[in-house]
Amino acid sequence: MTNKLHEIPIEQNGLFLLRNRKKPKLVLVALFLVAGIFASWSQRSKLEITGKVSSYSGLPLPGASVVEKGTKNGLQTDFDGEFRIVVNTGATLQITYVGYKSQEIQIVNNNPLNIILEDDVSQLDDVVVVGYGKQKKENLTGAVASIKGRELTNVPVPSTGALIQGRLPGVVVSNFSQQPGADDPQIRIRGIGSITGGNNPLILVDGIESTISQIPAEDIASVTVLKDAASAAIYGVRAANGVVLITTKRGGESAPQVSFSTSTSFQSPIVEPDFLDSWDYARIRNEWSIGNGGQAVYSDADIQAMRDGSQPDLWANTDWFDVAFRTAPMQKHYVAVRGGSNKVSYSVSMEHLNQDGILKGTSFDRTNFRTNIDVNVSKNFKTGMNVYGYRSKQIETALFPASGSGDNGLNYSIRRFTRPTVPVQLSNGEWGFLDGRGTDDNAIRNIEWISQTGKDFTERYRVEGQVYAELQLIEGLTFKSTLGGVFNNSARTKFIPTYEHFDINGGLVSNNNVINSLLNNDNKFVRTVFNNVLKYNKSLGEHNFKVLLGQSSQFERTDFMSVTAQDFANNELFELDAGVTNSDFSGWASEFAIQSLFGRLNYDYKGKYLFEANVRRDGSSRFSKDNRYGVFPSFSAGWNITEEEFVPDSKTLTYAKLRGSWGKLGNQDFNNNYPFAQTLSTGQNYIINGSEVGGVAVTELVNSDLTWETSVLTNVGLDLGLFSNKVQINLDYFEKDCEDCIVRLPIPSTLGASEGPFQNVGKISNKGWEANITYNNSIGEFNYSANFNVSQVKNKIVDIDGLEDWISGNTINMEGEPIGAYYALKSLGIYQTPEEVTEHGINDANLAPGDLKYEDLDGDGFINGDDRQIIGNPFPKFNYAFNVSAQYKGFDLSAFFQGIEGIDRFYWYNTENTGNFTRDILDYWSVDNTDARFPRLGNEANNSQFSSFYLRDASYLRLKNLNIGYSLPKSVMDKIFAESLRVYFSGYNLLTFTSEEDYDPERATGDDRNRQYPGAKVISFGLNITF
Amino acid sequence: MKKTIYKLILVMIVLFNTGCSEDFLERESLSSLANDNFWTTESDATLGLMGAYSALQSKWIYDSSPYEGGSVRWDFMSDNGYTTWQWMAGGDIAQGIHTAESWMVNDTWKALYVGITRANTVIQKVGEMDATNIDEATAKQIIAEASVIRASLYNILAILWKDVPLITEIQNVTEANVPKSTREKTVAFIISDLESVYEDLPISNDWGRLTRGAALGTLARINLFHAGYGGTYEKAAEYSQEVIDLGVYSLFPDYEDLFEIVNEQNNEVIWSIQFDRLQDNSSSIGGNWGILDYQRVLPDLVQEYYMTDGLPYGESELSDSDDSSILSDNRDPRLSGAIITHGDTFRNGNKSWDNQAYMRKWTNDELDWDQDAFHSSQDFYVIRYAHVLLMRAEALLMSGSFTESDVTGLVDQLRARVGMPLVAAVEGTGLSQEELLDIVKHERRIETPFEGLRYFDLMRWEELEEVYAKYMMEKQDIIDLEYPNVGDRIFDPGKHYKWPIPQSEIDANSSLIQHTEWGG
Repeated sequence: MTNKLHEIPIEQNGLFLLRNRKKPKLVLVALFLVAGIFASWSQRSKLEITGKVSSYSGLPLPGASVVEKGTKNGLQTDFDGEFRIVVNTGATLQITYVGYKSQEIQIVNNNPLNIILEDDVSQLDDVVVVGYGKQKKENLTGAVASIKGRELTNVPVPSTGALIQGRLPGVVVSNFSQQPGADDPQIRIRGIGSITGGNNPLILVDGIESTISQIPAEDIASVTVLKDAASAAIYGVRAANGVVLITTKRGGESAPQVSFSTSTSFQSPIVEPDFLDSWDYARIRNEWSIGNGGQAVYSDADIQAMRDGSQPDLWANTDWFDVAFRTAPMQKHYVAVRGGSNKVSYSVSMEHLNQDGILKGTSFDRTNFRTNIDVNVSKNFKTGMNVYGYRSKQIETALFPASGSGDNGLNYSIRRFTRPTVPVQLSNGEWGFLDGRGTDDNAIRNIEWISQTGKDFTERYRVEGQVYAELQLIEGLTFKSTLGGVFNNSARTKFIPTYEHFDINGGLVSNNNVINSLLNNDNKFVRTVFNNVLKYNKSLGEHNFKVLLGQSSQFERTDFMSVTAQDFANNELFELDAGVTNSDFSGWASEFAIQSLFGRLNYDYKGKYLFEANVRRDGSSRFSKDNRYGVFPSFSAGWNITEEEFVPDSKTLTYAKLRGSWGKLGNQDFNNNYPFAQTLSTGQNYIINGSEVGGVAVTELVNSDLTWETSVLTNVGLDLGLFSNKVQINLDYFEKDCEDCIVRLPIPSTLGASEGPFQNVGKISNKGWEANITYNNSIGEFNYSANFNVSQVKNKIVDIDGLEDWISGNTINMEGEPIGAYYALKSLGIYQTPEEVTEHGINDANLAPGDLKYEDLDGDGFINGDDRQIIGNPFPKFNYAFNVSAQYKGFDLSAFFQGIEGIDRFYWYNTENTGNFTRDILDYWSVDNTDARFPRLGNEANNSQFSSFYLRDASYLRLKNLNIGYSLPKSVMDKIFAESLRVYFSGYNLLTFTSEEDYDPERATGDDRNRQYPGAKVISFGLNITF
Repeated sequence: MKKTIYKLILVMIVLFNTGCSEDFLERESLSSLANDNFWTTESDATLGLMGAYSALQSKWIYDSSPYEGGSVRWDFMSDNGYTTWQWMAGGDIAQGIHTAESWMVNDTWKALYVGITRANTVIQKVGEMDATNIDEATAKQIIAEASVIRASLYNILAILWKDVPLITEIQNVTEANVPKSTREKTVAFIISDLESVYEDLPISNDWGRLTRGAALGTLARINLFHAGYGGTYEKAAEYSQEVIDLGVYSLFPDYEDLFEIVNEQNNEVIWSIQFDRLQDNSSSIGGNWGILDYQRVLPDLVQEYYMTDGLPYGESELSDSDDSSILSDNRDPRLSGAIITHGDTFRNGNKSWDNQAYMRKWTNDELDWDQDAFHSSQDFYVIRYAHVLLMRAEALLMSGSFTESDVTGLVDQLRARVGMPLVAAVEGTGLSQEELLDIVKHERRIETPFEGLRYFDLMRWEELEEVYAKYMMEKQDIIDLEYPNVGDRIFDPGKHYKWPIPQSEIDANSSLIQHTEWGG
């Protein structure tokens, strides 16, 4: 296959003129010029040179430009990376290719050339996507972090959001619940700015608000995070928590390229808690009961039967964690075709993901598609479209949720509602619920049976799309109009069948269900967006100006409907019409609209002094007419120090830039579309004469003066390139202050409302810094690189309207302290002697050696709520990550570590006696074991209170990803007519270094009992091939 | 150049047309009513009144569950029962370890003030309504109904907390810092308010809505509960008599069947809180949790029921020789009407009981065993005719001006209904005031368990200290009967006759001071 394009001289202006049909005169002039030059060259001595351009990994580089330096003689390499060019003897060939360092070769003879180009990381990052546009990295004045899509591929994990964890300094990504299909990670940019409001960043996919997790990683061209006011102010009221911009891949001017990747993965729980065997459990349970003044629960004979397995129907030894979890397979297949001409370019892709959950009874299946098309209708008119969507089906356990904040989540049920003494299945084939004690009160949750019973699945259909038209009005002035939208429908079906269970003697176990029931939910979400942007670029001498003006409007609506019915004829037929009794329905709808005007001015002088100003005016439907509009300005400046004449060119200090910015951003995200208008809630109904009659009441108070939260962000940054840019350093210091933070202050309940109004009264401050260091080098064919990033944020409540504190469970919001500081008793260790108990003087007759000793803060001789104090911080001291990678010939290897240092979490296992314990409980206090890890068994009232004793250091360092790949050499490729082929092994979450073994340290601050769906270790084998 | 200008104009039109439309941002709630133009029609007034009624369905007030609290649950803080888990509703209060941060203390307070606020809103807004939009008699009746609701809720506040903020008008956030009123002031207010409106109520009304009888019964109850603190026994006796004199109420013939859903509308019921599970207003009191593992009825209550010969268990020849179990044979029928004990069966014999006693009252045989533990259509009887008879008997005795036959005649009506011997036949005649009071208190206890009265009675009679001490003395016997998790009970008479004001209220209301007994 040949392509005429390759033979066209690539001199840029010439090409432009050739394509510029409206200026034939200029084209003629150019042709004459070129002809003249050729005519004069033809007199010199010529050499015909052949050669091949490839990358370090041996990939041929088609389309690399090969130019005789100082002339317009040049061409592009063909599909095999090969070229043939006639040059003058002694000429210098200049070979350039985007993403690689350019190379120059002096021609002395006509021996074939084998040119290997080195990766150029700094060049790759040359242009970054910013709000409503792109910007050269060296001209950036704000705090922006970005990664290229290729850094996200080849790590097969179900949620793309999880892949940016640790990759961007100052961006904290946490995988708190990893249930298949519901595993959107939490993203926090530069701390938490709001107490009541949302803290999620604005995520835009190709300019339309959306989500990241369900996008195939292979579709992503780049992810940019706008962290400071300068870069984010263009998004105004929704930008206070930062902005994540995702751009997807588009076609280029090339022949069709087909890429196909496939991977097979095996997932298993990262942490497998070590639960007690039944005989140890029985012993601990006995001690616990005796210690609390009761009697032994299991006899010696029972315990003996557990050990020797002589009565498996009565006294089993079941590891319910092993029963509940499995090594689960996951498969991903991705195919894309991209290409185009100078008229039309396209990118079409599809992905299929099939994931079994590590918890039995859970799985996820998703099929995505995407089509991005761009059309150059004429020289100054361009149009195009994106269409993206998926269909997914998420299956979960019906009787109990797979994870959740209450006591019903299965992960917590294993700890709380199972015992190892109960068999999974009895010898008569019935499911096991009871052990030899036999009473109904003690029936456990049989996870195996639960995972097989009932149906609970959610089907989602999502379509996102946009069309745009871009018009060049005059030279440098363009207008782009984009109309886009998102449609999402989620439909859930949950069916609870009838069931009954029998014990080993055929007696009915009480947990039966005689009425089957169905729940159907339907959630419809629509978002429409209309953006219009006018851009003007102008240079006056060394003064460069860029101006942007724009308008945007967005509308959203959610419709929700829920229907239930009961009494189905059998457990197979569960459509609503088949339900006989108790049909019920409910539903609601909610709308939101925002419209905005925005503008940006960029100015630079010789690329040396940079200045940028942004402003956005937003109007939001969430506030009353008088408080609806907000203006959010920002200013930033940069100084490219190395551009100064007084700074000598140096290999040591290659590049240096100082940046500073200031601006205001807004936040209006607090999960309520109508917080300003006093309404009467319907549905406060009553029954008169046996029939329901409507009733209304005020249930929530509002504040008609409510307006945005405003955050003021200040940022100072320094970018350095050292040793010919082999070392690159970015440093940032920032302050982010929320000034009129929305707080829902507690109100006296004598006002009769469940919740108080939102008020703009809080002040929150975040101060922090970020550092990012990258090192790239090569020794011969061995390339290696390393990256390290670290960030720190200090969060503090400055003011909550004079309110001293505001306690919520075991956390507190208090002036001068971080949001949600841990607030509980302070443990002073374990009482060792009766004298110590007496001496401490706590008024509690049950206290004995081995019990936890708490600080009696008010000295009244009682341990109670008054003795609580701040005992820990829910935020980490540092977030950090590092990555090392190396490449030699066809082999590549990379290891990526991510860690959190100095964070506290409650470790709450082994404080309750209603289920199994982890093995470390065996190290409990007794007179023979005074240096124990746990207090004595007994006196639960004292020993299982929230206290600093159970607050542990949850710092961790995790080998997030290890990737080993091999790319087949060109010689093999030729035989299979493929362009490249890479096989790889990827391990995700392979190793964790942390102090507590039975807990995953990566969990939310309130999740003290491991209620969430646990994270998985993923081992994958994959193949990428391009044709 | 001209073309360019046209294009620019076109772009500007697009920008300004789409960028500045105010209507685009006008979004109003799609599922709630706007407050601004409400309270103009009779239909608005009724909607608001129903909203006030629905506040009474709270599980912290007239509905109940082991996880919340409410009327039935209060009995399990008395000598009628106990919660098998201390953390369940009322568990900490019964044990005497509750604080100003206790769950039940907080949520009961909140629920009561929700109802009070809604009633205040109706009283004020309907009072302000234009006579052209609402018929005067209708408006007066609606206001009177809201007044009874408000008075009932303040009655509970004044029993449990004694001194509380007395709020009688609509408030906004800036007006919310209200100090405590004395119990006397609160009681005087609700009594005089009811006295001024009860005649606006009809003697018979749509079922579920308040009537004149319900208002009079409420007046009697408030006077009885707070006699000496703004109320008087004389008025309690007088208003009870007025209910009787209305002549529309009578005792339902069968005590056990009285608490069945099929009979929930009858002439004994003066005011009941309406529930209907099929209309999403289901009641927990009528679910099956009463006979599940959440609580037990104490042997003390079971023993209170006399044998059919009218003599106490143990004194009667009919007493079972096996005193380790408590049987319902040969007992006052009200025992098996309210309680399930050893040997009883339920659900057509599908379920039988061990040594322990469970609450049967309100529980429905026909409900599914597991599915309906918390869902039923059972109404809760706030005031029934039997209550009125007992109130009059007690009020007459306490006022000092009574004749023996007045009092025994009232008690005898209740005994006669269940076929128990009359007072004269067992206790005799020529009884002292004290003896008569014991008879009335005994009758009140066995007639009305699990109707939200016992805990209040023990509070107002200041007998909690005594019954908790008795419980502690009998604790080992209860454990020996294999009752589970029998915890300790502590009663500090210096502070436990008042509930502490919720800490969150003190935090949020700068004028509110904690009771001195609770460290304020």
